[in-house]
Amino acid sequence: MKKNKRKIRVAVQAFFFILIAFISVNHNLVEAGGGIALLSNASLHAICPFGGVVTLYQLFTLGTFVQKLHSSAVILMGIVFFLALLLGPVFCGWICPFGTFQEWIGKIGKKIFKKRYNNMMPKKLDSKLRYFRIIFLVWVVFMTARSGTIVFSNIDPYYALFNFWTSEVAVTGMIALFVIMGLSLFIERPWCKYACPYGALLGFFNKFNLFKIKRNEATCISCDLCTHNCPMNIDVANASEIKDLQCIRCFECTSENSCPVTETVVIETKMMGTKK
Amino acid sequence: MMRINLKVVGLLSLGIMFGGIAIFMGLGIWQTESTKTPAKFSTGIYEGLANPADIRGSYTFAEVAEAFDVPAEILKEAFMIPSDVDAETIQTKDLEGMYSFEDGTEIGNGSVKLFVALYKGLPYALSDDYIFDKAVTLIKLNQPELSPEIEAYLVEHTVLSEAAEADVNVVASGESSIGENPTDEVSTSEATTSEENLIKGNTTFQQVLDMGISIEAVEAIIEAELPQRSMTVKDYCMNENLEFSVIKAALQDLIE
Repeated sequence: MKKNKRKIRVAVQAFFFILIAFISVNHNLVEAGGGIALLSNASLHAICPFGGVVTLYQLFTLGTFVQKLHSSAVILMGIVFFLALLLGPVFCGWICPFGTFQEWIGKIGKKIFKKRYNNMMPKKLDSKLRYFRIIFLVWVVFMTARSGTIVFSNIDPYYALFNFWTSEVAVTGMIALFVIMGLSLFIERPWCKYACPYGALLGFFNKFNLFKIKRNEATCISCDLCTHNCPMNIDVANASEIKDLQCIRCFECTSENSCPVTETVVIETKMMGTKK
Repeated sequence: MMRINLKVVGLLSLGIMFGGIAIFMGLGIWQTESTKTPAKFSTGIYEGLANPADIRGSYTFAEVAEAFDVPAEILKEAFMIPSDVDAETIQTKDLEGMYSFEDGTEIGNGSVKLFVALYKGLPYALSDDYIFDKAVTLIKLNQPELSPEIEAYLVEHTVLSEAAEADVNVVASGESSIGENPTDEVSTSEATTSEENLIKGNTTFQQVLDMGISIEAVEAIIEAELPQRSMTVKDYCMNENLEFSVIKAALQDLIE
């Protein structure tokens, strides 16, 4: 039964991964004179919600978009923020194709390293490095606002992944991609944990979103499976409510997935419905 | 309290993403690419007409033809594109890699702007753009009375058609020539090595400064304080009623 529940997220992830891959290929086909008419041929920049974030300053001050960005990026930013207000950074755990890609590589790492997988990083170093993505977010937003160009594109491994066959990818982007792929064999979602500027921003929604992950202490048997299976190494077993900035709302910790006790780790809100 | 399960999470994720996009598409706000509508002259006898200086490298010959009421066949003839090539598959920037000249002369988007301006008799700041002799013939057929200044400019900036070696495969396949240029491999998404110091329609003031021009030099050219650095030079010129091609040429001279 639980394997079937996992398939829901896997299916959604696979859907968005394939969709983005098709759109990216179609964009290049259209530029070359071909393309599939029914499928979008938007550039990756146009359908990246982080593009909306970095163009906000220019939009407010000059009324224009940063080079290569369009209203679609701002709209997607808004939609993902709305989703995050409801469910937290579920974009990270269910939709982002690069998160999915890292997880798929991670499966290889799990097979090789078994229990050691995702537990090899020294905890002190790990906890310090987790703040880097916030610094990176500030730097990217500042540099983009200052230059009016998408500086992040040259080091974005996500852009490199979906354009590696074109001449549009910077060497630095390819290097970042290969580094993340290599690290994914040892660490789950290394880009998300240490570097993703968008994840850094969405992480803040964990503090106040509507539907939270809650652990029922009364029925919890302290097996630690929730903590063990958390891709972001969050100590779920010792929290009554998950508000960690790193949570990607994959819901692997819940009673529908890892937790062996029903209705113990759940997704709920106090703000709607009747009391149980 | 209200609980939801993973099915609901999946449905909400899909529903809100695509539902949201559908709503904004319905409102006509969803846009994933630049509009291909050139800016118009805002003053004078040409007010309301499309400005050839605003033709961008991403415009296809078909889009230029429609915007400026110049037959696509004329454009193709002017730039030696075979008539059987679909005008919707050739972007003006594709010309840059199509023709090679021993002396380094270039035929590109600037050449298209020049041709359209002279063919239609529209104002255009003459800088350093070249066109083929065939294009000059077409211009003179449509505009028999050219000013002495333009005549003299054309004498200096005409390229003989026979001198050009066209990459016929690129033209025939309608592919962009960008992929043909070895310097494009694993390049930045912004520009190739040879184009890094070229001022284009989307070049920002920060990029101009990054090309090595001082703030004082920029301010001397625009005769004003440096605006917000993320602003494109072109947008600034449009806002201040300055001729972009003139400012661009002045800045380009400083770089070279």
